[in-house]
Amino acid sequence: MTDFASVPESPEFWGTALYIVGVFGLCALMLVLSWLLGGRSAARARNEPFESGVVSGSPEKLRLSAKFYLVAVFFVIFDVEALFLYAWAVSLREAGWMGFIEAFIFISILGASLVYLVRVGALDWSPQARKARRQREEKQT
Amino acid sequence: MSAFVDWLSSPVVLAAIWAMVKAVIILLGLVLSAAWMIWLERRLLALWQDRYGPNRIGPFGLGQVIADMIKIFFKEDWTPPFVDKATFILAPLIAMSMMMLGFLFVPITPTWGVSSADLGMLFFFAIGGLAVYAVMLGGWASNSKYSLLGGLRSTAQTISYEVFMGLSLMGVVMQAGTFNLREIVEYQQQNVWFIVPQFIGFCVWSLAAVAVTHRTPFDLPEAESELAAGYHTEYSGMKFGMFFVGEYVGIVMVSGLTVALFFGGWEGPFWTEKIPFVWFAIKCLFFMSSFILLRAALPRPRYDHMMSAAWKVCLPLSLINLLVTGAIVLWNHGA
Repeated sequence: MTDFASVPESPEFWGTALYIVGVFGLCALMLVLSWLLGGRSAARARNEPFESGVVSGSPEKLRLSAKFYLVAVFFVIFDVEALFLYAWAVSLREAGWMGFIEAFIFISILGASLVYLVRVGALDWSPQARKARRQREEKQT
Repeated sequence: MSAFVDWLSSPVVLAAIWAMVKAVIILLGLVLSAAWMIWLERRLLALWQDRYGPNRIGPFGLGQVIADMIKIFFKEDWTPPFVDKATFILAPLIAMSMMMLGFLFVPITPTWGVSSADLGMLFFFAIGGLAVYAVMLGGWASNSKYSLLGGLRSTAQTISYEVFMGLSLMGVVMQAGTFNLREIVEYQQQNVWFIVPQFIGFCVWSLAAVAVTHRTPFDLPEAESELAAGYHTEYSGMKFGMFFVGEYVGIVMVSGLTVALFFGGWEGPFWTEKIPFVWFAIKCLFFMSSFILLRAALPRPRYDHMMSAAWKVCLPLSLINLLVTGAIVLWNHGA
């Protein structure tokens, strides 16, 4: 009996644990079952990456548009700031008006940086849009 | 032997066993409802397009799902030689398991629901973040150009919408004062459903939810007109099936969360004590069908429009909603 004394007694703990085990077990079972049951076949041109019937031109990895890195960086910046707001949201009543003013300043900075990003065109997706913006600015000056 | 029987029949152990049985039932219910959602989607789409849809196997074609499942299990489990094997197998596993784990904290009825821990909502955000890895790894590991482009698009889209997905729900958290989903539901039953005071939050959240589950109109990662099948181009057999089922589990999960967060969970206009599950199921079914209606009704937006909608409209909107809600809650609290 002593072995079980250190184990959490909350029934919810056991339900949660079994649920998590069940989720991964079910996924693993599906993978293994289809691996066991599935057929095998071979053909001449099947072991090539799909490119709509065209023979793959360059086997090396694609070079990625820098745009995606930019989005990832924005995500890190804004999501980390959002985390602070989660903490504020749940403790709103304890923080009171003082906390509200602080959060207001914080959100203003967040909003200002967002406006800045929009103004410099960091959130314009297509190169055309960036080009058009530059041309407009040149015309103005 | 009798000591073991005594231990087994002690109330603590019985409660634990009952909780485990409930967890298994919820898990199976989730997977089965996700599987039959494929049938529901095909039938509803057919209905709205003046077709019949699958109606051959079993009553109303309900057996179609079983037939498809048997068929997909016997498909070749093909791992192409040009892929990165470990991540290629890991990706569908993440896709499906993360969506299923998201259901962990959804309160179904007063007594049903796997867990009601205080971190419910935060856990959901974490799961949403981890689910990005499925498409990212799937696209990258496939070593195919369509897959990589689809995976990249999908990653950028999902993380863009995740930024304000959390923020859009913070109005709810402010009013209820907790991350615990069960307490949020109970708060709504004492006051008013959050759809009324948090309407803006609901609008932003539903956009984010559709984007995070990669459903039309936000299914650009798999836009077949330009990317073949996106990140799962190289997937076939059950691995493809797991991406597919994961998507439907995601719809069920998000519908359950929407019901819990904005529509009072199991509360109904009458008989709330008697048939709480029926109310929960009806509301869930309504949102699941709305996902399908969205697919039937709306065309796909352009990718750059979608990204700028996320950053330039939804993010500021949810920040403003947050501030206004905070001010109102504090005003009422102080008075």
